Order: sequence, then C-alpha cells, then structure tokens
Amino acid sequence: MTRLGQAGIGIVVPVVFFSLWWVLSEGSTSPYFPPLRRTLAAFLEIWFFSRFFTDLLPSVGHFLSGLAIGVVAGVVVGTLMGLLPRFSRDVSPMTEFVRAIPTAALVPLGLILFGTGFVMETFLISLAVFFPILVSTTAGVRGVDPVYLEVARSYGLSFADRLWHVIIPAAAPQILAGCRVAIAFGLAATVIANMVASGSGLGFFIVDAQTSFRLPDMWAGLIMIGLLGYLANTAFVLVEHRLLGWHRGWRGATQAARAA
Amino acid sequence: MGSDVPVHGSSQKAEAPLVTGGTQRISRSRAGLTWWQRFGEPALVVLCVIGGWELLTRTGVLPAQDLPPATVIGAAFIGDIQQLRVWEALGATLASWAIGLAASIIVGIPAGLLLGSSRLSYLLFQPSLEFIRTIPSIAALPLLILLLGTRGLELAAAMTFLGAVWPIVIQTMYGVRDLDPTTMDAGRAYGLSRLQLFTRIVLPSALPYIATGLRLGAVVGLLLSVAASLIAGGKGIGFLIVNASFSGVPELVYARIVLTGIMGLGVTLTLVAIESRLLFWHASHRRAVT
Amino acid sequence: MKTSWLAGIAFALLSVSPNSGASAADAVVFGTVPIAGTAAARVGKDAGYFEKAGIGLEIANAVQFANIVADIMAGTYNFGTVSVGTAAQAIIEGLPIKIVANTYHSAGEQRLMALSSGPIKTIADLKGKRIGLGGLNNNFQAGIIAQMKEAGVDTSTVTFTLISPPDLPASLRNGVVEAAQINEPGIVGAGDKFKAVIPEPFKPFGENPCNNYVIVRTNWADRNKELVKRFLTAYNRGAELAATDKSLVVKAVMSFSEIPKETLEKMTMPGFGSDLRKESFKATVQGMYDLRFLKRIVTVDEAFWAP
Repeated sequence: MTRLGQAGIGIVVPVVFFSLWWVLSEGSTSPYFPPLRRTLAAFLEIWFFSRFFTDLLPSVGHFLSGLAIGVVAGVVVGTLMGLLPRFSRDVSPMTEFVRAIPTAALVPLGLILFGTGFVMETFLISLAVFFPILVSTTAGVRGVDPVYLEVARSYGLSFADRLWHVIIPAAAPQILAGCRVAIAFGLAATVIANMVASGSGLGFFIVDAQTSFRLPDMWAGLIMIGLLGYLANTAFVLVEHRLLGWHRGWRGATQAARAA
Repeated sequence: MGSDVPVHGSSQKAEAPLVTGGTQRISRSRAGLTWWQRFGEPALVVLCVIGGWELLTRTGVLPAQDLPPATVIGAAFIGDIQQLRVWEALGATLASWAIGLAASIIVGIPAGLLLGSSRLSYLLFQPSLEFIRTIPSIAALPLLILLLGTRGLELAAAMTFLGAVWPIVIQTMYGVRDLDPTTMDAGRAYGLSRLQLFTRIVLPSALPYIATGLRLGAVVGLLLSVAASLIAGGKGIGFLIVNASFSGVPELVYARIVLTGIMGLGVTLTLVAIESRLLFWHASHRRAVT
Repeated sequence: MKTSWLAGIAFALLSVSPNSGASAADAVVFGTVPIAGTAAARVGKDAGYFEKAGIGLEIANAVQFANIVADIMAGTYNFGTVSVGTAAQAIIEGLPIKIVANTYHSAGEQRLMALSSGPIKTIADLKGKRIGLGGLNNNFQAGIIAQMKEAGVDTSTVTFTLISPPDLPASLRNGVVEAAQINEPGIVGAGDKFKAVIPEPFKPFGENPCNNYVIVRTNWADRNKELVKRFLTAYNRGAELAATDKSLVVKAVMSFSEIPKETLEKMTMPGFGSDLRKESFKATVQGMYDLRFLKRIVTVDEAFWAP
C-alpha cells in the first residue's frame, strides 16, 4: 500500500467523525454544545486573523521555545543518567518527585521566579517537556547494545566520538518516541501557563471564552489546540522518517520506536 | 549480555524504571549495591537541595514571604499531615485515580488488541488516535464539568481515564504489531489454534508494551486526577492546595505540593516494583535494565 | 463514590418531582468558593437555620465562579455563588439562571494597592503602569477604570495583566506589577508594605454594591418554588446574623479555610445581608456595558428571580 493510500485511509475516521458531529449538533440548543457550523464560523473568524497575532503566534512561540529547551535539556541530562548509573540513582528521587507535581501547581512558583510573560511560560513548558524526554533518553541510552560500545572502544574511538556517533544514534528511536509524548505535555503546559497568569495566548483565550460563556469561541480554541498538536506530531513523524530510516531496529514491523 | 541481541529489545522499553538504579554494562546485580549507594547517597542529594532552598530563602535571594524556607514548609507539613481532611483528600484523589485507571485498562487493552490486530484497523485509527491524544486533557475540563459536575469523584476519574487510556491503547497496539514473525510461524507450525496463538504467543509478547503503557498511563492519570481538583475543586488534594493558596498561607501550599509529589513518587515506585515482579521472565528485564 | 451516586440519584429525583415540602430533610447542594465572602451560608448552617427549615444543606467546593455555573447547569449544584459579572454574562449568553440572594457586598475587602515605598501615591500616578487584576473585564476593572478616567488618567497607557488572585500580593511584592488588586487576607498579610491607591474600587456603582450573588437554574427553581423560598428564608437569616456578629463569621471561615485566626480577626470582612441591592446591580451592569465588558444591558427583571 502506498503512502498516499495509507494517508487516505487515515482520513476516513476524522471525516466520518466530523460529519457526525456536524449533523448531530445542527439542531442543538444547548449553550454548551453549539452547532458545529457556528463553531467553525467562529474558528475561521478568530484565527484568520483577528486573534492570530495577539494570541496564537505568541503561544506557538512559547511552545516552540519551551520544546526546544526542554528537548535539549532532557537529552543532555538523560544521556548523563543513562551513562552514569550512580548519577541516575542519586538524582532520580528528585526528578521523579518534581515530575509528579502538576504544572498548574507550579505556576505560582514560576510567577515569583520569573514574573509574567515569555520567560515564565517558556520555563513551565520546558519543564513539562523535560521529563518525558529525560525518561526516554535514559532508557534509550541504557538500552544501547553493549556490543556496539565495545566495538567502538576497540576501534579506539574517543568518548566524544562514541557519544555522538554511536550512543546518541542508537538511542534515537527512544528519544524521538519521547518527543512525541513531550509534544502533548508541552501543549498542555502552554494552555495551563496561559490560564492563570496572562492576558493573551491560546490558553487564556480558551479560559476567557469559557468564563464569559462564549462557547463557540471556546470550542474554536480547543480545535485549534488539537490542530497544533496534530501539526507538531506530523512534523515529528517526518523528522523521524528522515533521521531514522537507516535504523535497523526501527524499520519494518517494529513501530516499537513509537513506543511512547 | 552480548549473546542476547534482540532487535526489539532496546526499543521496547520506551521508559525504563529509573529509581531502582542498577547498572547494566558492568554486570553487578542489584544485590551488589550497598545500602549507601541505594539510599544514602540519593538521600544526601535530597538534603542538599533542601539545604540550598533554605539558604536561598533565608538570605533573601528568594522572597521568603512568598517562597517560605524549607524548615517553615517542613513545619507546616508536619502539622498538616495530622489533619484528617488531608488524608480524606488524598484518599479521594487516589480513589478517583484508581477508578479512572481501571476504566482505562478495561477499555484500553481490548481496544488496543483489537485495533492492532489487523493492518486495516491500524491504518484506519492510528492517525486519529494520535491526533486526539495530543489534545491536552486539561482542555476537556470545562466540558467534563458540565457533564459530570465537580462534586464527586466522577470528574477526576474521567480526567484520569482520558489521560491514561491513550498510552494504554497505543502501547497495546504497538505490542500486538511488534510480533516476532518467526515465533508466530513456529506456533502455526505446531498446529496451535487461533485462540492458542493469541494467548500463548501474541499476548505474552505484547505484555511488556502493555506494562509500559500501564505505567505511563498510571503516572499521567495521577497527575490529571490532582490537576482536576486543582482547577475545578471537589474533594481531592488539588482543592486543598488551592484552599491554602486562597488563605494566603504559602508554606501550607508548598507543604501540600510536597505531599502530592511524595504520593506520586510512592505510586511510581510501587508500579515499578510490580512490573519487575510480573515481567521478570522477559528478555528486556533480564538485561538488568531494572 | 457509591454514596455520592445515591445522593445524586436522590436529589435528581427531588429536582424532577414537585416538592411537597413534607419530607424529612430536603437535600440541597450549595456550591461555593472557599473565600470569606461566602461565609453567610455556613453561618446560617451553624446556627441551625437550614435544619429548622427542613433542609439538609451540603456546601460543595468550587474554585472558579464560571465552573459553578456549569455545575448549576448540570444540576450537581442547586444553588451557587457567582460574581455579578459572571451572572450577567451567563444571562446574556442565554443560560437559564437567575439571581436569588446576596452572597456578599463590598465593604473594603478588595482594594487596588501599590507598594508603600513605591512611586505610586495617587490615582494619577497609575498612568503608564502595569496593574495586576484577579479577573479581566469584570466589575473591579470597570470600577477602577471609571475612577482613573475621573482622575484624568489615560487608561490606554495602562497594562492590565491577569494574575490568579492568591498570587497577586506576591506579584506586587516582587515587582511583577506596579499596582495590583489585593483581596483579603492579602491586605492583612502585607501589613504596611502596601498602600491603597483606590481603597473603594466599586464606588462608581453605589454605596457598598453587591459583588456576588447566589443563583439558581431557572426551571429547577420554578419547579421547586417552595423549597427555594424555604432555602432563602434560612439563608437570609444567616446573612443577617453574619452581618451583626463578626465572631460567627470568623468561626465559619475557620471551618473551611486555612486562614489563621489572628488574621481573620484583623481582616476587613465583606458585607453580608439579605438586601439584593438591585440598584447597585443596575449600576454595575451599566458601568461594565459602557466599557463593552458586557455585550448588552441585562435588566433587573431578566436577572432576578421572581417566584
């Protein structure tokens, strides 16, 4: 089956779903479930372009920055944890502890440390992104087949070379799998960071619409978040294909690389 | 270690349990770690962090009225855990988490098995599932409040379900897809029926994936259960955190956040322990990644 | 969980069937946010007024007023407390709710404050500054904008930032904003570090305008008129009691909040009472509409329940 064919099949379910939604909601009088028609009208009107620059772009900016920082930090610390068991043992209690705290509870802390605005939101988003990447990188680095390392060592490769050319590529499927999870967490953090300390942004827009009972607007915001997530995810799949096409453990039946 | 070079091995465990440490390349078994290495040193690290916090807040680098020193938080913590309502709230959060998780297992595993079993259904549903899964569950909260109200455990349980079901379904699907064809052929060659093939080959092979999915789902689910009461009220520990915040008592806020973190830590440790006990036979666990 | 299901079924049945008023104790759920302003119901409950009226009152925990409306719509709350702006907006968007009682009215427990040691001494100094607010496009913001305009401040130079109310004192202390809405217990908590720039934010809307109302879902109320009237009798008695006796309010607040006793005794309490203050409602709605915080005017007849 061609890739186009696969993509075609994948569209079927969403199309069916949206059609059902449209039809079922058309006569709706419930204020909380407006007809899809109204929601889509609101969607087009808001995002193209009345709120595009004030709310969407800044949030996307925060999200991408937080993603970048979180990924880099997660890979670095995760590699350390994977290579140095002692480091991992010592630091794990702290990381597991912080990981168990919901982002929403950390907003006041971020507020005190960084005020409102770009730095605070990016901080919270990178924190949310950091943990899944940390966990999957650690697993990926730990799972590198020792045979590769011994061969590399016996060839006299320096540590830097071993790291860059053997360990990281071998761990890459895991890391990328963690990135997929991180996208979801990062998007959630983008919404949450906006919800309580802001005046603009995607999360703020949704909460503002909800508290003012502009329900079509709220739904339009939710759809936009889903769309952003989908786009981010698709971008990642493309990156994955490019970067990992060669990876023996990844091709073929083992979509295990997307194991997260 | 070298003889066992599973093609699937490294990628099966998207997440390895971290906390129990243990080395892999140097073949030291878990029994070879001293008490100090397993508990003492990590505890020292924790103490250093607490000490650092204390220093920063007492010297005014961090505003002590808004970020209380560790000792003040500690005192509030000790006073707080003696309150009945704190334990009731923890109980409510854990109860809704358990209910939501159970629901996500009951729905998720069969769904994952079904969807993963045929290439067609996989292709049909995987893109949609991946799409929905990226939508933060937190965004569903306003809708859920309308449908379920904030009074009982239902809201937090539903949030837990929404968060936990995705990793479980998706991981189960991958587990079913990632079958070693050789083993399946061998099974067929032995004349196993379809049911036997399923229970004896497919299911055990998928089990580590399912276990990973469960662990991911459980962790995310607990986070969401706390977040539900944090943002919407109700009976959980999240509400108590907000209450302390409304009361203008920051040391109590942080004390309760610490309590939440400890609860999460406890749950993760328990799950890791259960998982290694149940899956000790599988290749990925034998490699002492645990 | 099983008990909450049973309770849910119980009052679902109650809300569907006409209430004879002869049952032992009617279960009523009152949803509210754990701030001092919502103490009247608790005071009434502690004094036994609801019991005497044959009502078993459950006070449920909420965090945001908008979610209280959702709970009322879902039927999990019978009564709930919402801010005047939230009530108006819900009515404008066609949600079937009506106001039945006064939760609290302003009495100095919310102020616009700045650092005492800072450069902002008068309203005019607010020009060009960042102001932190607990909610945007609500009556507080409308009130201070009106007063700023009166003092000749060009409000387009001012930046309003949304910050969750409990975090406002910390934000002001740490320079995140130059002026902020501070609600009790933050006022007491700040001691003399903060000074009020606008001590009566709601002045443009009248004398001690009502900030927060108890609402019901209209069709439920119409079907259970008698229960609602009994509830209101008990509730208003509690409100009047709270207005006269601060120590009872302190006791009530201590039962649901973590505010230390000494703080509570020093705190400025909101005003309680049974008076619906319809005039202040009109003025507040007008003030919010003038700034286009509301899409249209909400009339008193639309908003208040008439049995």
